[in-house]
Amino acid sequence: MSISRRDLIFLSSCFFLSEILRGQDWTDAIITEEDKNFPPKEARFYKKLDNKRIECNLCPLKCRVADKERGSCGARENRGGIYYTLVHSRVCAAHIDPIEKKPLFHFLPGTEAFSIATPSCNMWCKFCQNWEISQFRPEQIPCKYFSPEDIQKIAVKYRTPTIAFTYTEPVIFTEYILDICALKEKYKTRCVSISNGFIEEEPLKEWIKYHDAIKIDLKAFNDKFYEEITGGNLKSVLKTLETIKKNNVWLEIVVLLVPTLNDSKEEIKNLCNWVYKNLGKDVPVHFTRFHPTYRIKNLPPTPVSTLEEARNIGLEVGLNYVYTGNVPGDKGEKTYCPKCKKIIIDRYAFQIISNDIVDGKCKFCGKKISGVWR
Amino acid sequence: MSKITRRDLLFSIFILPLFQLKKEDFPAVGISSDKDPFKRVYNSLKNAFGSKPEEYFKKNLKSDSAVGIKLNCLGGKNLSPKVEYVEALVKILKESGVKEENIIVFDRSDKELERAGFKINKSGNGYKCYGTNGEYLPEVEEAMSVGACFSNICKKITHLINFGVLKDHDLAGISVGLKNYYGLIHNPNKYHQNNCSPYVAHLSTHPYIRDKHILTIIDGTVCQYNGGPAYNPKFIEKTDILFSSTDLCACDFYGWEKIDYFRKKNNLKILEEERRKPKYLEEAVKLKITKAGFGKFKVVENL
Repeated sequence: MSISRRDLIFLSSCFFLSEILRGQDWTDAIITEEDKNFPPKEARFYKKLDNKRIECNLCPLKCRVADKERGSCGARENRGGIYYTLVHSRVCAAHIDPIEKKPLFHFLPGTEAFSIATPSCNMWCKFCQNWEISQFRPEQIPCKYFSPEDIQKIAVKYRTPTIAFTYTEPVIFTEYILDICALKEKYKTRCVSISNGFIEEEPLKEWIKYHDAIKIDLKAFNDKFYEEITGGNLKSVLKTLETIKKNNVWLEIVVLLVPTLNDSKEEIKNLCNWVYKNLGKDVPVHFTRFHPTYRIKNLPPTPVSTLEEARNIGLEVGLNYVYTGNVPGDKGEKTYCPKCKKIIIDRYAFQIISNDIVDGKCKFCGKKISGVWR
Repeated sequence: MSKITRRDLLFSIFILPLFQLKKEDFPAVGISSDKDPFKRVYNSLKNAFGSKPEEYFKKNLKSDSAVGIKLNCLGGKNLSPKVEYVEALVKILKESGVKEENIIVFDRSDKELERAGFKINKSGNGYKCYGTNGEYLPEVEEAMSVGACFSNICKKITHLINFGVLKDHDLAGISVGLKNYYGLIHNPNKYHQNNCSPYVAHLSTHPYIRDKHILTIIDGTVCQYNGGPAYNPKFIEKTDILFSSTDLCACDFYGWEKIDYFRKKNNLKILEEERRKPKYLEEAVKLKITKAGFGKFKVVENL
């Protein structure tokens, strides 16, 4: 019997969870998709229309969904005119990761995040690294039930200061996130999301109330790429970035450079200029390396030289913190003081080698470094 | 406004008609309204094939052919192909030499089939009946703009029959024949934008569909002319017709006319006026996966 890629993902998820929940019985890990195991919850952010139809107001797709149908994400279903989320408490991946893996480089460096995902996504990026869980419907993926309280308790038990919503797309499990976040004062945890930023304003405002940091994937700086490669749109994501920044939630940006599709010097320069002008010079931007996968297998991995060039463009534009990603050992994965230019956080891949930020300032010259340091 | 020259006029009178299909060249949509369920299916097929169904199937299928019959059971008991029609088709296939155990009646899940009145049979005697139940092929297959994992049943069968219903679809306009094949892939929800166009047509260019499709047959006895794709008793018209075609889209064009007819009758706007015309059918015509078109099919009733 052969093991499919999906089986492999499930098994590794089980392994990671078993690492977390050592000593617990795992015989019930493979579960059925019956509703009784994952009771659907009425969604927030939707409008009722005539003939039992609804309009979803969670993301800019604003899906109009007839009875018994699902929105584009596949995670929400109209049942008799009431819209339900099918992914509340339905966890398909869980792991304890270094916060650097998110990547969040200016948020509690050297700490860990209890990271979870539920199935599905509101985009369909052709280069998705996690497509085996993001591009399937909830019932097509083995999951385990974890209530919001369970998630908080696991984070506390394993002393991870942060809970990260990641791997797939947190936007589509917003209700679950908000319920977990509502308990963060009680358990003294922090919450971060790793998102595509393709979200409507009303739910984003709710996110902002509770989040300590958000990392947004800015997939490209051209509409065509968003339309043809991701199923989203640039304008909405830029609006999300501005809203997060305006509301003082810690923000970092990742740009995955895909050879020939979004890696022209001109596009990178336009992107950096936009960030500088609209978000300021202190928002970290990570240019990360693409690896062929899912529906884009015909392109090579991003050359390291392209990433370095992108980083140089960002620095020339005036951004203070520009990184290269997915290239362990590259000089672009370290944090440099914008004033004295010394290395203040030395990293190798997701590991911290040294941290010379003291009380949020450069140990060498005293320059204040933007971020959340404790 | 540009003038019509004498040359244009002569061209349109004498030359153009030479290239236009005559009515008899359009694909046939075989219709039957016999009272007996078996005869209804049999005669619809006879009218579509222009010959006895057994003869047609014997010509196109072998004794070791594995035939998949993809149903559309989303609408539950009231708006799914009726069991007696599906069993009549199975009987005709059997009488044409196809081994009964090589016939798979299927849809997305066991649950949907059961709700529509079908009995799940995965390994017993008789025709098989079961859902994909999340068992998709591991590799992503490309079909023009569509990228998806197909039901593993697609690999088990050599021929594919599309057994749909006659219904309105809130986004696609209609869900009659072609749209039913969304039920073969794992991520149909990703392809609902722009009235599902060009995605429905693009999906049908995949060899699992393009090379295996041999027949579309539609249970039109309940027409959901508005408020679909789920069953909505407020917008139902009962008919006594079952229709079929060997063409990939002819039943869709016929079904579209029917749905618009009932919409008009019930004082509703037609689909085009509601900006819900099934644009994917125009795309299918462009791709030449059908010889039919709007009004371009011939209805055969009493062969």
